[in-house]
Amino acid sequence: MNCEEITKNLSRIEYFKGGHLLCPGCSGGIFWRLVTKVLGENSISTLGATCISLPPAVFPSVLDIPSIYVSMATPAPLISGVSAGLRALKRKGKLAKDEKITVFAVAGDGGTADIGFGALSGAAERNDDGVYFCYDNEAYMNTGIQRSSQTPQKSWTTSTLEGKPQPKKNLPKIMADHNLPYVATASVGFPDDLIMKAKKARDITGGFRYIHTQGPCAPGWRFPENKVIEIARLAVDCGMWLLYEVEDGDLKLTYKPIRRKPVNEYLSKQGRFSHLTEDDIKEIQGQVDQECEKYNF
Amino acid sequence: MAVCFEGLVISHFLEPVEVPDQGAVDDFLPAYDPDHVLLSPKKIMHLSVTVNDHYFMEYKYQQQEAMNNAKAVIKEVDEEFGEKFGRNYGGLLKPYRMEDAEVAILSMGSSAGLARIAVDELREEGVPIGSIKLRVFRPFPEEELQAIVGNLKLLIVLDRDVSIGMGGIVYSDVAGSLYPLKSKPALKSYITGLGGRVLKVNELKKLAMSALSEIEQGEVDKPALWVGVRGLE
Repeated sequence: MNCEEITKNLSRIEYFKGGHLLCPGCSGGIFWRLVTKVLGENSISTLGATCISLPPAVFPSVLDIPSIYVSMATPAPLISGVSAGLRALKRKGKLAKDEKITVFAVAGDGGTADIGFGALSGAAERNDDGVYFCYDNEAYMNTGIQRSSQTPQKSWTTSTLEGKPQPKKNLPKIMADHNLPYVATASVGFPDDLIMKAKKARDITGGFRYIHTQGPCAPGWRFPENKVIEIARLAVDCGMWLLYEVEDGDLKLTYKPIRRKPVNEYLSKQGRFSHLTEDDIKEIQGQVDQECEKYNF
Repeated sequence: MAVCFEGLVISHFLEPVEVPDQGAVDDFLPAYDPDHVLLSPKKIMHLSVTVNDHYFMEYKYQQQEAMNNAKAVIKEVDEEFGEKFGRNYGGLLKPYRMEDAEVAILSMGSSAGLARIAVDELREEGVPIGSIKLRVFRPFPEEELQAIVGNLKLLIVLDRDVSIGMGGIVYSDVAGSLYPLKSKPALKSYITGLGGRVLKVNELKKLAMSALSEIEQGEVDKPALWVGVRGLE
């Protein structure tokens, strides 16, 4: 499906309304609008504690989809619980047998990759029925920009003042190793790609589907609010965030630029990398080259 | 809502239970069929939402109102249960031999059973004593308590809890509730039975008698006494 078709077929209904408390320029708002337009009204959401859970979870809610807001660790087991509940309702005849309701979770990178990882892995291993969206802004932004396992190496955060020593944990790969029916990475800078993947995940019947979306955070990454999409696209264009999907073990890149950009174009636009020396940038470039070679990017 | 259930001693007892007829139970407590508890796309609901400063005080006010409204409902249900099954539990408070009492022991849970035995034995010895069982802690039955303690000389409050740095929690609430009364009894606070430490009837009787004699000698404002603590006897 091409870009035009995807946007033309997208629902005109806004399930995620305005008047919420996201920061100016937050990519989470874009993420919410697109994802809810795809999943539509026949869905139920489970929200882990993350900044982008707050608009639906703080009274009065801006989300027109039923939701349950829980601790950082539990959106994945709630997928298990809610989908089991729906099955029970169908068995008891309180819900039509052919009624398709999509259960989906939204959680942040810290909740997904660190705090909720055990519970997430459990739900994935049981292959419980639902779509799990990890919204990855690469740190604990809601609590004041502390490093998470998804923070890239050398990045400044309030808890890694001289840059994070460890590299970013490859969570999509770990999730793909759970042999899930569908695993994908996405970016808010590529809405058509995100919509396509959300659709695919929605339409797969049964099983645990996982989509890991990168969303730049202006206050946390230290760049102006109007540059969110630009930064999101640069991350992909320079190969620091790859867009792919894994279906039944087969990894397929869904976007490939004509020419890969140097990482410095991406790094130099963000305050969180402003302390990097030329050697640091060279080192990162080397790592990215190596990684991209693996994926033929 | 919090339902308090005493651990160990109560839960490990065997006791005869009167099981009413199923039809009567179903009549009193029909199958729970709530209007809106399921997460359903047909009727949007958000569970466990948080409330910010914009609405927090209104929300808290409503909680307080709901708690106050619960008082009437608790009494009503207790009465209805009594009518249908021939036994009721006294609503918010359960007074025992309080008609002409000059002294009373206020307690909660299993201590109240003990207090009733102590009252019976002391009555036989001619002491004008009664007992008050606090059945509901929140909403706290302020008016109900005020109504039955006006003529008392002494109210003994047994706490099986302690708010570290302050004292007995029930005592604090009882003292607060009685403050507006013009004529109010002297109060005595006792910390007992923490962690399941056993309080015996004889100990309770002794404690009540010594509290009474202290009051008669004019020793009123003493701090809470810990009962049955090693090295304190």
